[in-house]
Amino acid sequence: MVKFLLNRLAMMLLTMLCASFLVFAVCEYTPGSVARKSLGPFATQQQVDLLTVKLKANDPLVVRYGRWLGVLVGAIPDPLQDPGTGLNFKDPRGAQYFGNFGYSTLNKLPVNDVIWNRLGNTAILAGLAFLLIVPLSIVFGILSGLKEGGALDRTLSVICITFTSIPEFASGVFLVTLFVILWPILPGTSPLNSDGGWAIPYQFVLPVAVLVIYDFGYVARMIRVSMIGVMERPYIRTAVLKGMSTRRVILGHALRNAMIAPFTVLLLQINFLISGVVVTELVFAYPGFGRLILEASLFGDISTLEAATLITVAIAVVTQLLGDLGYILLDPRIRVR
Amino acid sequence: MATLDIPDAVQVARTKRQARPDWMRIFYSRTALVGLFLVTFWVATALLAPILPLPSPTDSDAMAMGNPYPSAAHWLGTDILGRDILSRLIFGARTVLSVAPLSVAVAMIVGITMGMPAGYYGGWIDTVISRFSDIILAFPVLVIYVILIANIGPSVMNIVIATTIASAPGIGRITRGLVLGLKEQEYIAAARLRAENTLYIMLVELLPNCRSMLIVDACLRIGYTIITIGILGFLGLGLPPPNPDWGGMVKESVTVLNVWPLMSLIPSAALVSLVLGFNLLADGMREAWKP
Amino acid sequence: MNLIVSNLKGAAMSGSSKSDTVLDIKDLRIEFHGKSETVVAVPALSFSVKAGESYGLVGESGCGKSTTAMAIMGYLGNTGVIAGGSILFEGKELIGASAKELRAIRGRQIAMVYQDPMSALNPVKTIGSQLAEVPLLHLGASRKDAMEMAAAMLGDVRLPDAGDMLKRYPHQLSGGQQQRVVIAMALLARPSLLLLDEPTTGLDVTVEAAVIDLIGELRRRYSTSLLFISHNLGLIAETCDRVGIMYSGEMVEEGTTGDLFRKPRHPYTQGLIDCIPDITHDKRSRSLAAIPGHIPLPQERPTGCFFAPRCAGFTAGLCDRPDLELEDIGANHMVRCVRWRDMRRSQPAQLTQIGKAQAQTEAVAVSDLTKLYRLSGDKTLKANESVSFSAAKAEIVALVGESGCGKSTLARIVTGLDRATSGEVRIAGENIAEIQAKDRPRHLLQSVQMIFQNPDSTLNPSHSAAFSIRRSIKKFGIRKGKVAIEERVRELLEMVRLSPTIANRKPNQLSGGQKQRIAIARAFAADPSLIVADEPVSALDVSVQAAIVTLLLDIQREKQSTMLFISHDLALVRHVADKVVVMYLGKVMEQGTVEEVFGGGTHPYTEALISAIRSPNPDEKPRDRVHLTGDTPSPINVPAGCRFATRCHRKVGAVCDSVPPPLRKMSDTHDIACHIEAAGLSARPSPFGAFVQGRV
Repeated sequence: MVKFLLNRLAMMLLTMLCASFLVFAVCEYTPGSVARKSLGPFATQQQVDLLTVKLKANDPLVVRYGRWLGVLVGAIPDPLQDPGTGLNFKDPRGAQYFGNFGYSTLNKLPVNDVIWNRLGNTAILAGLAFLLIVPLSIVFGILSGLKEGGALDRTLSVICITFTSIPEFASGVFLVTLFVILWPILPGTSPLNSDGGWAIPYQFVLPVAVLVIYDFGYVARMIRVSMIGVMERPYIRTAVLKGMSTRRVILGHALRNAMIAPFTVLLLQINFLISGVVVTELVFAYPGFGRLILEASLFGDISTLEAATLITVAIAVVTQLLGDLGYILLDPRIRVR
Repeated sequence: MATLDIPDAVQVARTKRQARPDWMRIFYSRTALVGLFLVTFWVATALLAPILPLPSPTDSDAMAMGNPYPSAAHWLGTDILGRDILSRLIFGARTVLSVAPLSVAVAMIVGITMGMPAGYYGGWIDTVISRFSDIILAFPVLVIYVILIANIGPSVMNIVIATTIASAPGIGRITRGLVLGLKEQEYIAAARLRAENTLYIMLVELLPNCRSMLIVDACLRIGYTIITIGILGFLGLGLPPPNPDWGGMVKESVTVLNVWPLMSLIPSAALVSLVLGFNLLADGMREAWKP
Repeated sequence: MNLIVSNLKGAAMSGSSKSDTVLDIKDLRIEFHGKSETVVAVPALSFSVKAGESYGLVGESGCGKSTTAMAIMGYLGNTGVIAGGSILFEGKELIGASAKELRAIRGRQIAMVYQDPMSALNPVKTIGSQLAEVPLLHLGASRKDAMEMAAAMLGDVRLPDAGDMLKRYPHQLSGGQQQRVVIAMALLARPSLLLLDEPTTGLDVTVEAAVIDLIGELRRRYSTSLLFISHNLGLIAETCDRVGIMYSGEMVEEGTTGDLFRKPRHPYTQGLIDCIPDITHDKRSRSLAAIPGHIPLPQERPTGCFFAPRCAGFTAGLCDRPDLELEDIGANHMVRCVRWRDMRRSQPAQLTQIGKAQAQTEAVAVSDLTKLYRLSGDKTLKANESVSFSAAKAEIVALVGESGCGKSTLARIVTGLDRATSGEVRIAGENIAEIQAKDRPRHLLQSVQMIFQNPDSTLNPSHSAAFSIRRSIKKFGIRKGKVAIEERVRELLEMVRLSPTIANRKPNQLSGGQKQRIAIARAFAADPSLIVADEPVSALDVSVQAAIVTLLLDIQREKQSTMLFISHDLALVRHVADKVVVMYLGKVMEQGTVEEVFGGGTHPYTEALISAIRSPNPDEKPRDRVHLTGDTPSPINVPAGCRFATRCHRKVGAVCDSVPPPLRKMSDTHDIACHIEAAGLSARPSPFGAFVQGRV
């Protein structure tokens, strides 16, 4: 078990390393240098050149990546915070500490000041969506998997397939038209403050709905397939021919088996929701992590982007790990030998 | 892993159906037919776009700008710049229906090339390929797209590259799983015993048996890529003008949603219908080809 | 005490003279409604099971016997429909019974034992909780009482350490133990009727023997009626009082066990009995009579007698009239054949000529072959250990043993699909033990070909039937040019008695027997000198099996090729082989000529294997059975001394557990690995010696 966890931890670090390097390399193609972005559009070319030299921004990619890594683990101070640059970038935590994501050239703030707050907002949004996706998809999946090809299965399947075909921006347009414009009972934006006259809970309804609509159908389909497989297994027949009622067969024998495979899929939705929030947050002007990624990408804010990448990968690997652990817990064939 | 069936009936029900070519069976599925209809509809309009009597998708009709509602001249109305929505929709279909299948085709080739050896050889080859896939799969897909396209710029080429990076590991994983199951089949052993080389075994003995699953997967991925292209357009990372692009159409008009909702609703609905078509088709094929 | 002598012949068990009927089925019609067509699985079936009786329902796959059992239970899936007739259980109509009524009967009054016990048990629930469900559901027991009843029942099915067993999960049990659990589950509520659907198919013969004994014993103790469904005539003959033979959904013959097997009247029954290899004969004394053709699919059924197309006694105008009835021919014997009076049991077919093995020339020699698989951690799986034997040119050497004995691994090493860890396999002087197929030169590959076990996976479903034959001819350069290759394909198809029109069909349009014929043609297409046949007929129906075996023997004799014949079926091996190698857990226990191994004085394991075989011959004297306890140990954790020591009924003492047994030379050709002295071994008479001598 310890070996398994260590293995996973190593895997996570490796993934983070690869991913951050790839992002670093990709950002090379962004127009505009770090120096230009730090100084803003009104700086003279001379100032930019000077800063470029100071930041050693003309070093080879690998060297700069190494330097970034050094800043991250706290081995060297962040060069952008060096008073010599004249940028006046200051991190209250100091220039050199473990977990220093550097300075956001977009927000002109330490990344650590920007990102956690945004991440918290997104966690609330994604968490609410996840809380709805789990029961909805289980109910839909189990019900349609009970009798493959039956009327209920076909109805639920069409609903699920249709919903998975509606991307967030489209369902955003549909829902806003319906509940904001035609029948105004909900706010069209979710800035998470009550300035617009809407209480904050109301502001969550549409963003959460948009996320749930696009995602729950997919999970329900996965659970359906698993349930169909389980219902065809001979041990279900054994249970039925023992004289058990359908309800007891499903709750006592089918459900747990049917959830083994989709358990991982369910957890992977956490990963998916991080993608989902990018669009949702844009549609509803929600101050979250997804929009931060988008803005940072468009601006070429390497520091923020790298921080976002590392967090995203960490979340992904941790969910994978949880999936594996849950799998072990659910299936005695793996747990006990 | 035995699954339960009523042996007598299953055996019988199959032979008669299998006498017909496999692909024909999708015509027995109502879902597949509806999907096929939606897809064919958009493919047909996209193909016919140049010969249909449509206004130009890029020219503004100054007269219509103040009154962008549907009219005899503009059946679905015009957008904020006075351009004909129907025409933009149909020319947009051309873009999306060429870029999405092209991207998926490239991703398929790369993915199959990764998955085949991983599944067939196993061992360290499998470990390397699978670990590499895991790293990419650990990323949220859309974040890959956004980071890539925002930094290297939107173009058909770049969308194909982004799709390949995002989809190939998944296709590879599916192929690997299929090959793992198939390589223990006795006909593979028979092929090895008659001195067939590995490439031949992969391409002639294994690949045809992965065909139906991969086609279904490709179909789903085309739908998903259409969504992604739409999202990129909506995020402002779509193909550069003058290409009309459904996601871009929504982005341009979503600011006036409370005034002229049709401008956003129509391209949204078009996108949903096309994606739904591919999803239904995939589902119907999966049902029909179920082994 | 490992050796328990029992006598469980059917006659001894039929103590019941009560005439009240437990189950009465009349004109049962079962249909399956597919999307586009309706299939009649069972057109009109009637039979009854009396109280305390054991009724055997026999037939090959697709004959509707399992479907009938499921219809009794009211469980036909989403597509199955009972379209007519009646099923009376203790006077109560089951067809149309409400879900609630069915629930009260299922598991309480009618219980079932299934074919594959591993999949019949829920993998995520403990044995205890699955067993306890029955008393909780039907007997109103408290959880504690239910668990106690479950524990007691586990003792009744002779599972050791019931308390511990209750907490285990199904995957922690062996196949035999799982089946005992399923039987315990079925008997917990003391049902009056027990349905056994192929309860021992898939279990090893020695385990099967123990399960059958257990069923017989429990049946007497609980006075339960049995409906025993099987394709194995020997099992049915031994365990049942009355037998019904089903063919393509119809009952073709029914009678008391002794009467029916002694005087089978229906040509199908006769054919079925004649095509089973029996342990008392080899290929020199009897050849298998195959039934030509194949079982018709429901939509292919002819008018009149369904067996007509395969029947030698078919008479137009008589056999093709509709509405053939089951005819009572006295003594409770019923036959559905208008010509039953004229049907003479066909004389044993001419003996196949036996190829002379050229003992001088050695074709293949395996010596000291060992195969280890490294598993995770420091565990190793010993698939083969120091296996040595040889085969002369044109000789058939059979490798016999139960699952896990390493016979298939050996086949894979000889063919090059796997690599030996150490040891030699010499063919024409070359050691090929560690050369895999991809590294073997063309001529070596060509000289060793293989026939596989599973007809459903032996041909690539994406290619035509003849595709692989054609490739083989081309790759090995047997013929050059398209025309010559096609010509050769046709010859090969003819050789395996297939019409050339089959060449372009896809495998899913072929029957199992046809696919296996193609596989034989493919193996011989390379003109090999050594054929490795890995259980080539075990997946086929018995009536098809005989035809394939006969064909294989004919071709082998004609081509003078050497054959390694791998099988778990001793009767078949006796019929096919010149020389037999008995394996257990990766080691050779005994080897010798077929006469020696099946004669007196054998290894205790061979003795147990032979004694586990059941013959449908009612005149055969009930013989003393060797009862093995326990299951084959895991090949990861092999016993230190003799591999068989943990189950052996003739164990000498502690030496068996600690010291590997010495090789006893019984004759030039006969070796036994055992601690018992050669004299002690040969003192043991053949289990059926008396009978053989009586006949010959």
